[in-house]
Formats: sequence, C-alpha cells, structure tokens
Amino acid sequence: MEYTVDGIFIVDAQAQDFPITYVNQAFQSMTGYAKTEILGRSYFLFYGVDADPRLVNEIKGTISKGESFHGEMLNFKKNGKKYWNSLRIAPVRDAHGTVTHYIGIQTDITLMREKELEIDEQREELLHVTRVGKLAEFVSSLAHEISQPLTAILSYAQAAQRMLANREPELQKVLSYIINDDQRVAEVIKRLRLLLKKSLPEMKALNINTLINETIMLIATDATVRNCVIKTEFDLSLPSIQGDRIQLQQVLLNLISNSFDALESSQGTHEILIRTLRQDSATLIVEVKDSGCGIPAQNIPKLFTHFFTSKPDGLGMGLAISRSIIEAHGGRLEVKNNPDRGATFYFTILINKKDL
Amino acid sequence: MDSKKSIVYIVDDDVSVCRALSLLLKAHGFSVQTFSRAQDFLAFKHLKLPSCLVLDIQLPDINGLELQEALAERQLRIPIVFITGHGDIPMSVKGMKGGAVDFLTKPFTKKKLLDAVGQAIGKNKIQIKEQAEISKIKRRVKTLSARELEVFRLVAKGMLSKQIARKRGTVLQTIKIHRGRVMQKMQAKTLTELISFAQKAGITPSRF
Repeated sequence: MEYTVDGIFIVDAQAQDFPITYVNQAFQSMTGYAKTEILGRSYFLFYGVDADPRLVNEIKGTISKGESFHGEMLNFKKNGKKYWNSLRIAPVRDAHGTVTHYIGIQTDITLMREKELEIDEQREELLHVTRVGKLAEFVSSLAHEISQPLTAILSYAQAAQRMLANREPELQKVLSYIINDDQRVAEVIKRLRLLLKKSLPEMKALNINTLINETIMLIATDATVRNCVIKTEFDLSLPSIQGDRIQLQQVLLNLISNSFDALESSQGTHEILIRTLRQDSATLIVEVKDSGCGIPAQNIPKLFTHFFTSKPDGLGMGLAISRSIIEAHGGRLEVKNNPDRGATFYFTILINKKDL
Repeated sequence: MDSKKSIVYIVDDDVSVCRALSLLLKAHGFSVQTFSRAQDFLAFKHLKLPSCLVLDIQLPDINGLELQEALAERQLRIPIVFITGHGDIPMSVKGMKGGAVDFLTKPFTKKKLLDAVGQAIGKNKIQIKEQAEISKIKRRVKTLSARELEVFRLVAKGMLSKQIARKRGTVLQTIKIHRGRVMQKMQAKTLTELISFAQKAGITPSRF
C-alpha cells in the first residue's frame, strides 16, 4: 500500500473537519506536501485553494451521507501546479454500521486528460475546417450557377445597346441601368468568393499510415456509438506522401463517416477496412471498404457532384469537397461496389518526391 | 478591325450564354458560330478564316481544358479565350500554359470580351500568315533535286562550299552551281534568308 503509484489516504470520520490519519508516499508526491504537514489536518485542504468549491461540497455531501464518491477533479499541488485527480472515496463502517473512517484512492490522470484534450482540439479544428469548406464549396457552386444567367443578361443588354446605337436615348438609359445592376450582383459574388477563398493546401511530407491512425482516433467514439469496428491493413514499407494533413484527414473522415451511414441499415458485422498499398513508383492507394448497402449503379455518376445526396439530412457536399481536395493533391478519388456487398472508395496520392 | 472576315466560335453548354454572347459579338460585326458541346465543335469542319474560340471551362462532355489538349493533338491552331464561372487559379495556369489568350471570369463586360477576342483573332491572323509562308517554302523545297536538297541541308547547317565539295568528293565549281540553283529555286536573296527557310521548312531544327 505504501509504494503504489496511486495516492492512498485514510480520514477520521468521527472527528470534526475530516482529519487525515494516514497517507502513503504517492499521496505525498502527488499533493507536494510531506506527511508531517498532512497528518491531523483536514482532508479537504489538500485539493488546493483553487479547486472547484461546488465539487468539494458535493464530495463532502456524498461522503457525509455514508455513500461512496467517484469522480474526476482538477487539483493543485503545494507549489500551485495543476493536476487531474481521479478520486474514489469509500466509507469504512464498524460492527454497528457506524462510519468510522473514509478510505480514498486517487490517481494522477493529467497525461491522459491532456491527450484527450488534444484529440478534442484536433477534432474541433477539423470540424471547423470542414464547416468552412462546406460553406466555401456551397458559395462557389451557387456563384457559378448565378454567374451563368448574369453573363447572359449582361451580354443581352450590351448587344441591345449596340443595336440601338444613337437611337432611343430613353431605352439606352434603361439598358445601362440593367448593366449597372448586373455588375452590382457580380461584385457581390466576387466579394463572397474572396471571403471564402479556399486556402492553399499546406504541403508537407506525411506518413499516410500514421495519418490514418490519427484520423481513426478522432472518430473512435463515433465508431463505438455506431457499433462499428475499423480495421486497417497497412503496407508498412510505404514511403511518405506529399499533402496537407488537415485536408487529407477531412477526406478520410468523410469517407469513414459515409461508411458508418452505409452500415447503419445493414445486418451483420459493422466493419470498415482501410488499406494502404502502392500503386506504382510515384503513387499510393488508400482504400476505405465497407460491407454496407452499396451504391445503386445509377447514382455512381452523380455521387461526386455538388448537392447530390441520398441522405435525408445530407447537404451533398462531402464527396464533392473530398474529390476536389484529392485532385488538388494530384490524385483521383473513385468508388466501386464490392463483388459481395458494400462499396469501396479509394484515392491515389503522390509520393513525396524526395522519397522517390 | 475588319471583323467581318473573321469568325468567333463559342462553346458553352448554357444556351442563354451562347445566344447572348453571339448577339453581342454579331452586333460588333463578327460572324459567330455556337456549340453547346465540345464534341460538336471538334466535329465541325472549320472555315479557313481568321478565327478564335470562346470556350467555357466546365462543359458536360469533355471540359474546356481537355478540348484545348484535343485541339493541340490535332494541330488545330486556334487561339482560345476561356470563360469560366469559377476563377480557379490552377485551372487558369494550365489553360494559359496551353496557350490561351485570356481567361475571363463570368460575368464579364463587353470591353473585356471584345479586347480578348480582338487579340485572339489578331494572333490567329499571324498564325495563318506563318502557316501560309511555311507551305509556300515547303512547296519550293519539293522542286529541288535530291542533290540540291543535300547541298541545301549542308549549307543550312553552316558548311562552306569548300567543305561540302571535300565531303562530296567533287570540285568546288559543281557545288557552287548546285548552291546557286538552290538559292534560285528557294527564291532566297541572301544566305541568311535561305537558312531561315530551312528552319521554317523543318530541314534544320528550329532554334526555338
């Protein structure tokens, strides 16, 4: 008990202020106080002055009722340094059922929490980029649709002006109003485009297998909730690729979450297989294969176009964006139905030139 | 500009854009022919007039950049003005590298269109003139005898008559006679002109 990594303490339940009667070595190093500074003093002093008072009261309340407490809280060492404390406190009763002591175990989970935070941040960043990307793609295709009739209107009006040259001054004026307003709309579209200009990819040498593993970590919770298993089959000898980490994660995330959706309605094991392999001297292939419902043949040609979706709440942007990202990387994104069931999305990506 | 004698081809899948651009260019005196698909343009038998192509990048069958490549493969030299809904940078770079005259983002003003079209047709006129000259020179080359053609090739390479005679194992006088006939048949006034004819006819590699 003395030498475990978990901090262990015993509190006298019958004295006022919950004095500590025992602590082990780990508790001392975790809190930063020596045994002589701890024994006999109230247990609640050792969370640190900045500990959340509501949580401290909750713990007091719970154990005073003779119940166990189990939770996580931010604590402060003697020197003020923060650490995350995973805390379990249980009452110890005598033969009459009276609570005589509390025994507690605490674990420093700071590293774990930091890792989780890091993953959360990455996920947040990715979601943000995805949202901005969707908006940019949306605006850009909308702008395209609008600019067609605008071009026609502008040219019709200018042709009419030319045809009426030196005649009908009133009509000429009306035509010039049409031209001006057409250009006003064009200006609005131009500003919108500038605002949502796609940032150029930040090309770096990346290991594709590592990138896939990181992406799987980001979506791990989602996979568990949806009862899906993501398996990988990597060619470990692959050279590094040239790409933008966030954009490629976006593509992978999109393909994986499409597979989740495809698996939703299917029976049996919900399994996704991600494979990496070499295509030729200059390119790699990444495959995302599922055993879901597959894609109706008539939908395949439309799959990568804007606004095409088979999902009730879909925008129809994901695959269009993914394809434009892969193409900006010099690769191709394609899909095929598997001979048995489900579909496989696969993309090619260029090997980092230095590795050739 | 004598735009009456030139023709503008427009390829855009949007019928209204085609019609409007056509009306506008016709109002400025151009002849216009419109196509809604790249394939239709490729299948069209081109008139021998100064011309240019106003080409939409996003087309349903093959896209504008692919059409540009297909034209280059067929050695159809027609200056292209690209028009596009997206002002996509990588695309424009590719188009310009392929020799596009301009890249207009929709909607564009009449002035921009007329400037680009005028420039493209001007470029095509020069191309046509060059092509005609090359054909003329090639026709003249065909009138040379085998011996004359060989002397032509060696002269164009920069060899002196004396060197040619030594190489051929004949006397200088014979080579001088051949050389005189080459100048005459090729209608070259100077040696420099003769050498430039050789490059244009593909007899010696062009410096470019």
